[in-house]
Amino acid sequence: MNPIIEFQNVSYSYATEDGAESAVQGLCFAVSPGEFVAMVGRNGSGKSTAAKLCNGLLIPQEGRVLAAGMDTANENLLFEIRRRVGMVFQNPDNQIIAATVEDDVAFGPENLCVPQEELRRRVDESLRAVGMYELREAEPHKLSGGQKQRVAIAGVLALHNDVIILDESTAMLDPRGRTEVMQSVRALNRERGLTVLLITHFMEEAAQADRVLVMHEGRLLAQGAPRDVFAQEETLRTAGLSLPAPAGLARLLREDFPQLPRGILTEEECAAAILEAFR
Amino acid sequence: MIKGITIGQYFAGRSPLHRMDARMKIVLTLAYMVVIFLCKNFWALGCTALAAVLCAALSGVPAKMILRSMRPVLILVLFTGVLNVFYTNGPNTHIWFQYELWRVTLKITREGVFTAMFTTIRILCLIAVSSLLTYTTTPSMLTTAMERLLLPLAKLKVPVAVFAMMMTLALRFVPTLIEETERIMNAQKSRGANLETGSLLQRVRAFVPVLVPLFVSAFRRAAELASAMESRCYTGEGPRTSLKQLRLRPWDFGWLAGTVLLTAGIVALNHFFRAVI
Repeated sequence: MNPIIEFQNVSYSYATEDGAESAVQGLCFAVSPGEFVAMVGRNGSGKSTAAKLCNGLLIPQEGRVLAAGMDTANENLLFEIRRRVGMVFQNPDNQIIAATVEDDVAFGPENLCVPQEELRRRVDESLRAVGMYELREAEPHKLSGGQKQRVAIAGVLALHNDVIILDESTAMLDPRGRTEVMQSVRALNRERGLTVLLITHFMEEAAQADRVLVMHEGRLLAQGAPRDVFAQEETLRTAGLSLPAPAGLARLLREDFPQLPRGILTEEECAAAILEAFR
Repeated sequence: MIKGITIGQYFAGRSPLHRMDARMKIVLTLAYMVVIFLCKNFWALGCTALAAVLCAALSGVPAKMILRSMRPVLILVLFTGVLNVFYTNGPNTHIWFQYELWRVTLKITREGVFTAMFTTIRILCLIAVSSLLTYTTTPSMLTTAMERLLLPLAKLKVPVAVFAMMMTLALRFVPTLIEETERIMNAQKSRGANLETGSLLQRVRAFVPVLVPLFVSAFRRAAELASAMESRCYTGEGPRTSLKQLRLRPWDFGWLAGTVLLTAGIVALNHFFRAVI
C-alpha cells in the first residue's frame, strides 16, 4: 500500500538573527493509511516542524514531503492536501474560529463550498463522532479544554479528511481532557480507519500507538512498535525521554526482581507481571 | 467571574421576532428609523410608538431589559429635551411662559415643548427597536445577515466576505481576550502592580504593563489562528458557503407588509392632521 504521508530526506531550518537554525535534518519516514503513529521527542527535537511540513504550512528546503501522494511544494495542490491532511494544534483557544460550536465545525467545509444541506449533515456527523453533538450550540469559550479540542477534531473530520495530525493537542489539557481526546482519537482510528499522527511528549499516549517515532535534534533516532522502542532504554535516554509510568516502575522493580519480563507498557500488564513475580 | 460573559445581548426565545429572517429584521429596523422621522403630528408619532411597543410585547423580551438598554441615552434625551424647550424660536411661536433672568429671556414656547416631546419619543423608539433587533438575533446571525445584505457591494470589489470574517473572529475572540486581560492583571498584581488606586493618570500608566503583554499575546494568537485557518482550507478569496440558513418565509413578508402599512398610515395621518412640528 502506498504511504499516505511520506518524508523523503526532508530538511528545514528557521531563519534567525544569527543565521539559520536547523529544525529537521534528513528526515525519512512514512505513514501507511489507517495507521496510528506517535511521534515523541523533547522540546526542540523538530516534531512540531515535522507536523507543519505534513500539510504544507512549511515547505521543505531540501527533500520532498508527499501527502496522499501529492508534493506539498506544489502550491496548486495545497488546498487538496489540506483537505485530506487535517491538523489539530496545541492551543484550543487559537484554532476555534466561530462563535458557536457548530459554526466552527462548519468552517472547513464552508471553505470547500459544500452546499448547505450537506454541510448540516457533515457538522452533525462530525460532532457525534467526537461526542459533542449535544453542545453544538454552545459558545466555545464556555467549554472545557478537552471539549474544545474535540470540537477542533470535529472541525477537521468535517473536511472528510484521511489523516489527522495532532500537534501536541493534549499538552494544555488536564488529565481528564487528555483522556477524552485520546478516546476520541483511538475510536476514530479503529472505527473509521482514520490515519493518525500523534505528536506528544506524554509517553502513556505514545504507548497506545501502533508505531512510535523518536525524534532527536531534528533526526529520527528510532522507530518501531511501542514495546520495542520503550525497551531501548539507552535510546530513550539520549532523546531525553522518560518511560511510560508502568514501564518505568517495571524497570525499577527489575533491579531487585530480575524475573519481571521486559516490554511492559500498560498498567494492567504491569500489575499482572508483579502478581506473577510474587506468586 | 468574567467566565460567564456573553457577547452581544441576545435573549434566547422563539417569538415571531426571533424567527424572522435576520436580513428582514435589519431592513425593517432601518425602515422604522426612517418612518419615525416622517411623523409630523402626535397621531402619527403615537402610531409609530405603538408599533414599537407591540413589537416589544411580541418579542417576549422582558420590558425591564428593553428599558435598561435606554438608560445610557437618558442623559442625551434629557439634554436635547431641555434645549428644545428653551431654544425653539421663530416668528409663529406661541409663548406659554416667559421669565426675565438678568438679561436673558427664558421662553417656553408651545413649539419648543412639542419638539422636545417629539425628539424624546423618537430617540426612545429608535433605541427600543434597535435593541429589539440585537435582543432577538444572535451576533453570528447578525454578521451573516449583514454579509448577505452587503453582498451586492462585492461586485464593486468591496471585500465584504473578508469584513464578515473579521467580524466573526472579533466576536469569537472578545471573551478570550477579556480572560487573557484578567490573567495578565492578576499576574502583574501578584508582582506588586497597583492597578486600582491612585489618580486617573496613575491608573492609566499602571495599565501599560497589562497592555503590552496583551498585545504580544494577541499577535501570537493571530499567527496561530492564521495557521489553523489555512489548515482548514481557508484562502481568503473565492466563494464560501454557510451553515447558516437564511430563508425568507411567508411570515417575513407579513412583517414587510405591516411595515409598509405603517408607513402608509403615517403618510395619511400626516396628511389629515395638522403638522405640529
